[in-house]
Amino acid sequence: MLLELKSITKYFGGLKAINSVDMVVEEGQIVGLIGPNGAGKTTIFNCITGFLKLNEGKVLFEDKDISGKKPNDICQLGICRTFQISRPFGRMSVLDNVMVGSFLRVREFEILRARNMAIGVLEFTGLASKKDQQANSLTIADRKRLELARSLATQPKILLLDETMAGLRPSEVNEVVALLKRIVKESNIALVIIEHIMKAIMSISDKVVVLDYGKKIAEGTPSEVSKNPSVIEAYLGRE
Amino acid sequence: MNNFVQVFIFGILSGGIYGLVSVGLTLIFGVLKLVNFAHGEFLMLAMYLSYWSFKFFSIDPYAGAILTVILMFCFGYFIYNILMKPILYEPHVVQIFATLALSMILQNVALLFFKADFRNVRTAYSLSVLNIGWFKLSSPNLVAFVIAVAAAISLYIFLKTTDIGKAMRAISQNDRAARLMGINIDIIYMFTYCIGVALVGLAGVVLVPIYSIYPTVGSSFVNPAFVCVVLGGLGSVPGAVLGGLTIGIVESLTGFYIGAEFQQAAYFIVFLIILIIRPQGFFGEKEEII
Amino acid sequence: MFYFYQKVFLRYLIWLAMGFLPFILKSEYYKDCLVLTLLWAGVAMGWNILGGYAGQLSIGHAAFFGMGAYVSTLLYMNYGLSPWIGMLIGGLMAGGFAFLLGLITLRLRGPFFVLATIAFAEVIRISAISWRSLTRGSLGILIPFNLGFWNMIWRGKDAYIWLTLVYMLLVYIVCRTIESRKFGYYLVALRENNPAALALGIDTAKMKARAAFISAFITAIGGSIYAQYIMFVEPSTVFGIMCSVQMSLIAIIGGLGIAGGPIFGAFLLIPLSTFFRGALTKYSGLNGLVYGFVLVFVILFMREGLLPKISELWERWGNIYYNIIKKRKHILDK
Repeated sequence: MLLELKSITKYFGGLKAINSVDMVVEEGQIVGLIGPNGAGKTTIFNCITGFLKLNEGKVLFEDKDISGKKPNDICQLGICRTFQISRPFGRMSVLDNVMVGSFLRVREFEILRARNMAIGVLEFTGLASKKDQQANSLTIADRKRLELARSLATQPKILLLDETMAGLRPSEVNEVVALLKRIVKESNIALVIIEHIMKAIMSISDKVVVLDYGKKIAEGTPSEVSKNPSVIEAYLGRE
Repeated sequence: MNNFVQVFIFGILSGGIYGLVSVGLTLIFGVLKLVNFAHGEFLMLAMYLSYWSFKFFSIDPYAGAILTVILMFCFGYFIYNILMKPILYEPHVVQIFATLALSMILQNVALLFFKADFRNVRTAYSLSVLNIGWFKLSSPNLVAFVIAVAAAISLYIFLKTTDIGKAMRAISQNDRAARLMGINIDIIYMFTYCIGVALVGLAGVVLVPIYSIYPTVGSSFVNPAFVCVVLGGLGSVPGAVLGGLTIGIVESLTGFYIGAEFQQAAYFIVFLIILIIRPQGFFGEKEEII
Repeated sequence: MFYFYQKVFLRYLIWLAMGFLPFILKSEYYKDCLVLTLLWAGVAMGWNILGGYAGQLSIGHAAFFGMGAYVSTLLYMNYGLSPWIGMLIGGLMAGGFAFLLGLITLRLRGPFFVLATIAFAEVIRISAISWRSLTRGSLGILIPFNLGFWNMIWRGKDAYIWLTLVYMLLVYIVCRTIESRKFGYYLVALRENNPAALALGIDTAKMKARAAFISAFITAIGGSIYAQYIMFVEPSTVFGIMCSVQMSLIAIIGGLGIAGGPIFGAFLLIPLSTFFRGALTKYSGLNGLVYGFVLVFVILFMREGLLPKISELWERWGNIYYNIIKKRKHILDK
């Protein structure tokens, strides 16, 4: 087991944003995390990566308890996340942005190595032609791609992608899906994907976890989950 | 023991003044999310206004309080439209330096036109002292305290009951939602800023019988005021008052038991301690990283 | 792309020109101006490391400037220690304070961090005034005119020009080095977007503290040099808020987060301020007033600083010129 969430619970005041959720992610696995808005998906990401403190439960990475660690330590260990609203380093170039990511695995003065690694990632994600553009000037699709590239550059073992495809046109969505498939195939990185675009999630995930009001209401293969009555009810309401 | 109580009481009285100075600051920060580095200079201006009305028109500071406060309100309107409105949505760098620049400009204008001499207002009651039991209370200090508390309570009631007050609170919690609810944010922003300036103007008025007036007097008060704001919780009016009292007491005790030179260090140490122990202050919310 | 090489060429040209300045300027007034300009350029570049690259605006750096000045001076006056060594000790002390302060003030958002720095400088200033047994309070300390390299005291201003030139050059090299390495990238990252930086494995707290250390160290050394040049230290100049503001103003006007920015800012601001100080001594406060207005103007209209603005204009004109040339060539080729 690469990543394991054991009964994690998070309160915001009196509200249980996450209610005793269990989840397991294996190496090289693609897990889709879906649920209506406000279900707690991004909150789970924040809890895993140390941006929020858990009230109850544990997060285990490679069988070691990482609950309570700081976000930067968690990234160092190999868990990298993207943000729902992309957060580029605006005044740096695309290349520099990715270099910030690749510098993590490199020593202080190994600038060239970081640069080459970054260029490699840029080529892989299709951003190489824009490498000297200022990050602020990118389109939404490219920003999301940059976010992805930056996280890839940290050589993670597991990537937590938060709505990487939101706001993209169908052709762009297909590109991202293809890219993600390549990532898993070539580097065996596990993915946990939060997404609202059902077609994409169902086509790519090995298993899907469904959240509603902070609780896990279903888990299984895409086809199993899409036929699950409680899932349908959560999204569409009762008849 | 008597000494202790005397010093303590003095601390409370001066704390009330700090509270009054801070209340405007925390209001501006809570609603506009703007840090007003020129706050001390508004205090200074109000003090000079009071001084000149006393010198040229023989208007007692307290009597002229209303006029001074209204003038400060108008001055706040002027400054808001010239400098604050353009920088409302700008990044922190711009806001900080713009208000810092304003502070420099006001200080130096005062220096240029009023000269650096210390001025004082001596009225009949300036030196009068009230004796309660064993304790002596300086009247101007007491009056200042009472006015400060009255102002703070009025403000609190205003915020809780009136529509404008509720609008201000709504904006301080979520400006976008407030806008969507039909609240005219721009007017409220302007009003809040003017009220904040008026409040610190009031603080200036009550300080005039007590303190000397000179161009840089603002900085002696603005630093502790900021600490009060942080201590009380950003945007919290009762917090600012409580913070003021705390600072006043700490400063007073430090001055008496450790030494007058260390009074300045006292509020800074308090500041550091809050930051380490409880950065959100008394009534603030804990901030998560995201 | 042709103007990229132009830029590099221009840079070296400017450095060369500056090297000749000591020989060109003859009058004492201009020499004094130059020394101060070079010194403040270096100090502002030091400030820029924390304020420009890391985005942590400090208006309390005078605390470190003054620390450098007083530590090296006191060690020299009381123990005969050469200022060359004294300034390093001052630098380490300032750096240590900065590092600790950096760690403590982590959670402060923008303006409140600024406040903490202002408050810190104020406390240090008042302590310096109060601790009369050590610092002679507001009277200040007059440094005796004992010539000698080890005393860092020379006759005439030429030697100081070389000293400050070397200082500025060294600081510039430090800045350029940081800029191109992991540390520099991390600082800019945490300035641009703190949560994203954390998510990429950057220990933002440690980076900020480190930047504070380096920044304070450089500033303190500048303070020591200043003390040995002016031969007099007193709290309100070296610990005063005007000192802090001047540092940051130079960096902001010249170009925040750019290594050479403060140099440009210093060459613009210091001669002007020296002139004003001389011409307007009748009206105390006019100096500060002008500063205030300049600050407002710059911050509202040229927030990144003059150098980027000029660079941008340069590129734009270069582009237009380049396109004209291309069109002409095109017509000729036909």
